[in-house]
Amino acid sequence: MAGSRGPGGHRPSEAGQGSVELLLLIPGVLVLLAGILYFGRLLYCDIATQMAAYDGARAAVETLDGGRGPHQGRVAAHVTLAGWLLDPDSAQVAVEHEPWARGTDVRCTVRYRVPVGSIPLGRVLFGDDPVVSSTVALRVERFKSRWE
Amino acid sequence: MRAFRKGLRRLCRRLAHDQHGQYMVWFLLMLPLTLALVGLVVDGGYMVRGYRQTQIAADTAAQAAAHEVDVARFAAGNEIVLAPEAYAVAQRYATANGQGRVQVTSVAVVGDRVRVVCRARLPTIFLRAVGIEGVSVSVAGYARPAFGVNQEGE
Repeated sequence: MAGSRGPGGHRPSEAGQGSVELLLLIPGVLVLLAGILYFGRLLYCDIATQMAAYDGARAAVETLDGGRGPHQGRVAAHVTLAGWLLDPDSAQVAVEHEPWARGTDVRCTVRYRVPVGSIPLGRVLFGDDPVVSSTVALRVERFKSRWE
Repeated sequence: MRAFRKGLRRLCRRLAHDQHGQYMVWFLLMLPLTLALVGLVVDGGYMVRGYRQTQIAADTAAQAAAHEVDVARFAAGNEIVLAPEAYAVAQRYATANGQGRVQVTSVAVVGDRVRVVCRARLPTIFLRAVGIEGVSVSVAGYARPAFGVNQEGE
């Protein structure tokens, strides 16, 4: 017995299955894409903060002047972040040290707030901007005096 | 623009009457492949990050080890002879900058530079599913000892 059929030749109760499936799948695909974008950005910023912390520490320990070292470190870290196309103003750079002398430890810490607002569903899925952080320890050069 | 709207209307009309269920089937068929790709991207990303961190640990260890030379012989004739504590100092900085998972395997003088070789085992996340628990990497860091007052060697 033939029942009533819709314009596509299907029973009305069966019509539109494709659109229902598509609607069910779209959120999953979007979450997957957002997750990949989020992870990629987080990783990129994390590697950039590692490099910035290393460059900051490396620049800081080049001088024997304790008043200049931290400043050199902060500038170098900011330049590195800018080189990675990140906003240096979103970063906090701290150069910690013991009393500055040859061979003493210097630690450069870079914290960077990763913007996720531009990722589709970023705020909904991941909340506030995460912060990535890296610290690198080095010692002040031992065999230098005034040369740069 | 008109052609786009027409195409969109046609697509909506087709979807409204489509009962073949092909989207779900395709999605389920592609899911393992997609997950494998995501896994490779995530683990690959972590490998790059871990490798960079190991390289930084090796570079800082080399810089620290380059300070641990026999000062008298170095000042007299630029001869680089490592002090006995060079290895321990290198390991201390490799540990501090490698989150505790970087091991110094050798500290040696190569030409006018000090070479520190480090090894680290980087854990995986997705590749564990196929029995790969981690990947070992080995990197070398170099530093050149130098001294001076107003310029190098003075």
